[in-house]
Amino acid sequence: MPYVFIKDVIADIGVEIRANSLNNLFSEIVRSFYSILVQRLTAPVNPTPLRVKVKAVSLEELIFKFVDELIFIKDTKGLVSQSLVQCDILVNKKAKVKYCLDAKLNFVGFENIIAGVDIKAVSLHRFSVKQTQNGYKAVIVFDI
Amino acid sequence: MEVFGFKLIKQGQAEYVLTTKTRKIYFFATEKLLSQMDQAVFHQAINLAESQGLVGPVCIMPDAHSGYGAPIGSVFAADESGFVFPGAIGFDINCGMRLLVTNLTAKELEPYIEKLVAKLYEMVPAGVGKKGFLSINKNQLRSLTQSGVPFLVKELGLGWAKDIEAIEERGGVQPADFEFVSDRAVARGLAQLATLGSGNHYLEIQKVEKLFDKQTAGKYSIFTKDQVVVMLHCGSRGFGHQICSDYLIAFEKQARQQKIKLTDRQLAGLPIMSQLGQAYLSAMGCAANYAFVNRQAITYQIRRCFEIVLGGKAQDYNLSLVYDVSHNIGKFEQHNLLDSGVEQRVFVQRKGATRSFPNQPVIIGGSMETGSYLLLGTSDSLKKSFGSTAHGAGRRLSRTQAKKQIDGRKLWQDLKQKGIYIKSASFSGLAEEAGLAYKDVSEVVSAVSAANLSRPIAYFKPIGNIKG
Repeated sequence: MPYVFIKDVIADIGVEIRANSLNNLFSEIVRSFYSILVQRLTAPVNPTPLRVKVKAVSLEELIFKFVDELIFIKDTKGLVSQSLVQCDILVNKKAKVKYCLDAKLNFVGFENIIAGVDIKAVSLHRFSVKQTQNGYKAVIVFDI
Repeated sequence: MEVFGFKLIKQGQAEYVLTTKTRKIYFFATEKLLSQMDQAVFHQAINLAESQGLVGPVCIMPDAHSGYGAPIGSVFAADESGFVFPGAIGFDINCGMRLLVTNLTAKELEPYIEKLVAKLYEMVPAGVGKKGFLSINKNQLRSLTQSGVPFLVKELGLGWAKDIEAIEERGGVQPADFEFVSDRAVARGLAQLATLGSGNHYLEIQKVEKLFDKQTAGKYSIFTKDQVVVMLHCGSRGFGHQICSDYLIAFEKQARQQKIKLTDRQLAGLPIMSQLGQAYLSAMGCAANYAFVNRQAITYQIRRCFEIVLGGKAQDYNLSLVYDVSHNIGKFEQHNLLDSGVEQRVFVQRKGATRSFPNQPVIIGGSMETGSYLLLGTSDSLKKSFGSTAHGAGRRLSRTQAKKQIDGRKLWQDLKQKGIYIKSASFSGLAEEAGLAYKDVSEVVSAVSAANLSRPIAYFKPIGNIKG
């Protein structure tokens, strides 16, 4: 399973995500985020596409800012990210801003969901992103 | 008992001490609660004690469980040359409790309870993505978050003048400067004012189950068993969360640049008097005031609900504020440092801990099944815990475990049969907040009472609950 819930996170929800590529890593982050926030859709919906752009000096910061942006869109536009449609990540390790993400995501409105629990923030506690032999592994604890 | 190579020594009733290389850690807990604490609590407490810029001991409350960097249920202090840790104050800045008292008995309210719970659920939005009744612009948000409840009551007329007197810091923490709040926080704050939120936040109609101190209870117009009260638990919503997130990143970066040792990335601290430290304090003050205002706006809605469902004016049912107290906050206060005996101005950080100054009401919320307590602060708490006590029951099961073990729909039905009406945005959210997921709140109150951090005045049982 690409993402699993971490058992010893008590008051909040932690996920461990494994993916064979950076794009899949971001895709799994979106899936885990959606699975916490949404129990189910109330009816078939036409998703709303939105672009998310994030710049960062490290991969960890890129992921932190990406999740923070998903939370921001949820709270200000009333849209929950459902799936990652396209994701372009530019990496230039010599530049000051080393990572640029330009992603297209599908979102669903609150009016179309039976909600799970809210995600209010992403924590730095246990937060990590590592390159592994098989791709990438990330640990994210969502504040509930 | 040995914990991570340190000796944990019992030194009084519900009091244990662990001495690290740099400072003491006091655990206020019964043996039972101590044994229920996850190992991470001890690890995080030791990390906290070894952090830079603290004065005096670290205090761990009986309801402590592991948090981000610092245990939820911890109190510590720094002097003006010391450090502030945004992660240790937490995402939900000034999450807190509020208690209103009515002159109704549960029997008198019984014919209306289902309607009242439904109306409260309608008028106090709860759960993911709900918007509140207050439509404000950025300038009004600026005034509200810089001035707190007095602005809401005096300028917008949402409350009674006497409410202000029954709120910690009179509902307005300083410093609070909106210039240090990001546009992202503003956008989230505008959308969520006067909403309950989700997770463990709730609005509960309760009845007095037991009075421990009738005389003190009477001072707050709580006179008899079965009398109805209203309890509220919520915080600064996305506004506070965004402020914490913004400053966490900035603090971590700067701490690394300055080669400040980080025991946990969420526990990045900087000198209080640094530029970033001061900016955080001003932004945190705004978030704290947002939370006070949020609870005040919800109180306005609660009073309107009573008027709509029962008729007449809110005052006919009393609905006075007993108290509003924070359990996630950092503030400058005067304290006698426990080890030195010298009174000085220190920055006290309470994460999952309630201020418990002498004769000040303290509200400890339990789960929706077990009930909650009103207590009174003591002078001993000033000597032992920077004037602090516990804040709740403390989680026992993780959210994932709770959902596996508890069927939210069945729980809802079972509670209805017991006379507890619940309106919840989600059954899975309900399962996560079941009584089984929490420690015994009465054991927590026994511990703070035995350690004399606060003493119980009244015990309440729920009869209606609104949950996000």
